[in-house]
Amino acid sequence: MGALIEHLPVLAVAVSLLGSFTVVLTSLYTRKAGYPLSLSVTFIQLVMAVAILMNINSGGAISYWLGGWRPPWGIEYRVDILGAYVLVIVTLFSFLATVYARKTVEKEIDPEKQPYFYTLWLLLVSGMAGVAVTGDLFNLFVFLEIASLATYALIAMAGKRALIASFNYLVLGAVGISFYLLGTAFLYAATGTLNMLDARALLTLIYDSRIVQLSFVFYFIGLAMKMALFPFHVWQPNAYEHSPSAVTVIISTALAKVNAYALFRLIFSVYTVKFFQNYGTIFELTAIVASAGIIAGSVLAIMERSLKKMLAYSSVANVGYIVLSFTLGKWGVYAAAAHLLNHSLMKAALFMVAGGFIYRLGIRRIDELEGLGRAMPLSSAAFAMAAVSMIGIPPSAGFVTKLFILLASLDTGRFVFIAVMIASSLLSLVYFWRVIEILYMKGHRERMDELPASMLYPALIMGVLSILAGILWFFSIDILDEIVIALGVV
Amino acid sequence: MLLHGVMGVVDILGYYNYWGFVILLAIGLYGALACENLFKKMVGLSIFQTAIFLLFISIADVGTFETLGLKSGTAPIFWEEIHEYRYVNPVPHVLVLTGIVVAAATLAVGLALIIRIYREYGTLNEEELRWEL
Amino acid sequence: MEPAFALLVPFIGSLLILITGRYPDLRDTISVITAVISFLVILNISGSSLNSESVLFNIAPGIDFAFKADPLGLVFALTSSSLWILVSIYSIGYMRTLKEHAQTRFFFCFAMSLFSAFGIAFAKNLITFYIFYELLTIFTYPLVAHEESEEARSAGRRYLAYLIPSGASLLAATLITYWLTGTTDFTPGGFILGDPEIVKLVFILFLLGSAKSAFMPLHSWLPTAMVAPAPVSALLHAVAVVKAGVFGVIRIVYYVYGVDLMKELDLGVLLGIVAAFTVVMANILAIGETNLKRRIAYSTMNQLSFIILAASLLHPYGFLASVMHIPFHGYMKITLFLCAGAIAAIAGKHEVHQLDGLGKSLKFTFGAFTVGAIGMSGLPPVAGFISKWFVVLTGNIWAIAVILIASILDVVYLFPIVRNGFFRDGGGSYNELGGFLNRYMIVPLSITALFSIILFMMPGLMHISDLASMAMQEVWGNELP
Repeated sequence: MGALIEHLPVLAVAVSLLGSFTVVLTSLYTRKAGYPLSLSVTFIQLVMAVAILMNINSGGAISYWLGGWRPPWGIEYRVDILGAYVLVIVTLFSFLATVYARKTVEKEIDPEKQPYFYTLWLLLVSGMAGVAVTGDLFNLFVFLEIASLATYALIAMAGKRALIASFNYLVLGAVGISFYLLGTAFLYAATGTLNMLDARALLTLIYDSRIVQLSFVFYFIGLAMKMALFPFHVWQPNAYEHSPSAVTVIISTALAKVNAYALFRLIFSVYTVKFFQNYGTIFELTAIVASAGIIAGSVLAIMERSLKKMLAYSSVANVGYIVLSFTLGKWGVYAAAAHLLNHSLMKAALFMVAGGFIYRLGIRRIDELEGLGRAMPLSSAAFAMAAVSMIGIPPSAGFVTKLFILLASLDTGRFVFIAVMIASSLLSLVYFWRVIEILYMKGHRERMDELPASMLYPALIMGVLSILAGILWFFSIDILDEIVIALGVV
Repeated sequence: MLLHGVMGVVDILGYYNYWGFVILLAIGLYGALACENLFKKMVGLSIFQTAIFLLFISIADVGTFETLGLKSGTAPIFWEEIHEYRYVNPVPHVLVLTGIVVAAATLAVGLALIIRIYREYGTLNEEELRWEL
Repeated sequence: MEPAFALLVPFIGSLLILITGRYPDLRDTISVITAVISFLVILNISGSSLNSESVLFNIAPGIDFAFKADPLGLVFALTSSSLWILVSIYSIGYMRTLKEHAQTRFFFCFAMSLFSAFGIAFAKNLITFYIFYELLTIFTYPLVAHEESEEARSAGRRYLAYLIPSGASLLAATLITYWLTGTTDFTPGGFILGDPEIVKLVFILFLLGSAKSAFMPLHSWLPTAMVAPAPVSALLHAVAVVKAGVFGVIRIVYYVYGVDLMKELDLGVLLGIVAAFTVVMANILAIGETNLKRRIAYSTMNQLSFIILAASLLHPYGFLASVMHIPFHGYMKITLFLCAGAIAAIAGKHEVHQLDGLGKSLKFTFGAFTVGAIGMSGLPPVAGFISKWFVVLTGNIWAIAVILIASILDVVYLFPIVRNGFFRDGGGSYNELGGFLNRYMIVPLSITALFSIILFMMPGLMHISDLASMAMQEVWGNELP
């Protein structure tokens, strides 16, 4: 078993790659293999991810040298507690999205194209898993591109408007990843290594070099474009709106977090806090940009009439929370790490139900949701629970993040962010409560069938978890401590 | 003093590969973001990515300006302090190869999308398509 | 028994209510039984497990989620739980008479609101207090907007628009307190320290965070919320929501700041002025109000600010008055609201001028209303007199003047209702006790009216006066004048 553990990081990625090719091959014979294969593969990955997480606690980090080549000459996969945690998040939400995907894919995608959908789906999952486990900067670029290209194609499978949305995403996403590549180029020029640990060691000598500072800026801008951080978010609302429902679920929960994780890694494991202590302005600017994003995202959400677009703008604001937390010290790291999970829980439920409404009733606009609270009580309840959590009512997941960020602001003495957080809570109250009010307090519909079970249960579970997460987090706060220690933030 | 300044200017002009990189980067970025025609965006994107590859190669190169006492940008720049040799570093070339593959894939997906969009909407003009959204 | 038990009962009860939604009789029975059991548990705690604690979990040093059944909290909890029994019985009659919709949602939210109220009562520190404060807002929203009409939705929105930002202010104040002192535990005599300017600012934040106590100018959510069904108005706006607000104020004044600090920073004066203004203004506005429930709402605002005023006097008797007025006012106000509801349900009347002569057929209802009116004005033999008398005993001239004016105004807008009801003609005749459902309404309101008188004579009922004195001992220690 010990030997197996060492290989798990690679297996976690390889399994879905293999799965992806298998689906394509089996498509020659049957069109129906896609779903069962995807389901089993993502489930296996989830089990592997959990196994990795369990084993990290005792052992520190798992390090795997691809091809046996010693780093920094070879590519290293290095999974520490943060990586394991993110891997679990990615595989968990990929699995849930796969469960959810069954019905929506049947309805939204051409039967002939369904095998290709699942092929790309599994490619996306392997790309994301790869980002979570890799310890090499260029390797991260490759996997991120795998995931992104698969995403562009997946979004476009919904046809018509999705094509344009996907193209816009492609252009901005490619520019973004190219900036990341540019950053890597400068980093390589300065240090001669692509390995994260190695780079960290070498960078400590040259923090004041212009090249190094520039490389960070390029990394930041590149990842900001991919994460849809304000003001680089323009592709996101349309992409989320028009893509197939299952794709929206997976990219808003897993892909978005993977991009944030990449930035997380870069800031804390490669450049480390000391770099930023020398260049306070970068952190200040980051915090300001993030805050602007939080407020802007929330305001834009209020003005939006389409449900999925509103949720997309909400994601823009939430990415702002994560990036803001990076700049706020130890409690900020708690907040960022917690929000990776919390936000995914909440958005998963929200997008699942939103997609479900489209599936069942073809409803995309918020004002058409009247009376659904009574017509589809469980589905609406899932949405309402997640929405209450996003507003930040205790003891939900959203409140946990909010609390951590508020404590972080107090701890580091940056009180203005207290005002930012409170403002954004109030703004999110406005746009989420509007939906709850329309669902429950307006209009009258007859009781109708709920969403299909494969869509309803994941959404309900996510909804309940997002309300109870506050309580559950308080039992598992050790993992956040370990992440902080592993990243060396004190 | 004047000679120093002139030498300085010549120094900077000497790094023509980097100048190429910067100019192509700017052209490509402008094309990708500002052009209205979708196809031109893809072209701009390609130029942008190529510029980055140029940068990678440049930092690998040994350089031919020893006469002017210039040290060109072998990667890592600080290598001299650590090791004795300087040689063309193959790693950036490898990275570029991979990058080209990725860029090609991106181009392929983008062009496929363009074909579908044209079939669907009959136009490749970004402004007109924006109304569709 | 630990305080956590008291919370478990309504929580489980509400889940059961959700499950049995399809069977109205079973569901409503569960609702009443839950209320009864909660009350018994709390009574038990107040008898035997005073000051027992339940610490649930710890987030960070000084931030934990914990409960403590101290005397002050028990007074609030006893009030809410005892009244819950009566209101739940009343609700059954009311909702069924009017054939209201969404009854399961109603009873579920009701139970969860009480759950939140108990959480507030037993909160050991500001963080736990805040958590349940917000939960209370969330669970009462569906009750306020119950009717689902445009007016109800608008009232719901206003409710949230006042209370959620107010909650945010409370959170900010709580966290700054934590930052200043490293703890948020309620301590008799206060615990906050720091730079006076910051401490004063935090007090203002706390005050803004107490919009639930409906002092002016943060009051306008209360009259608009009267669009809710009468049982909702009765319990929540006379007992749970607004009482949580003033309970919070008392906690902040005596258990976070403490008498000495309040005197030092002149915060008592500030609080007193705000309260006094509301006391008088609310009564003046009540006179102009024609809708019966809205008029009673203004009376509530007046009485709540009376509690705040008494608390701001920083005197043991004032403290006693404010604490005891929580149950006293609860019983009296509930009587008034239940009467208003019965009048609406049985006779279909909502406006004050429509009530002429109704007293002749709705004898019990108007009788109970009379008792409530007497109590509001602070006259014996109803309990309201005791609280006002204690304020008089503090010797503070301004306070005495204010409550005198208020009492006079109380008479002005409450007594005409009684007089018109009994002594004018008109009103038609209604069968007050006819019909099974009507009794569900009339009996509870008669009981609450009766209790208002009994409490006057025996304030030791349900340990109320003992608990209040114990709390007073805690806060003042040996410094009783």
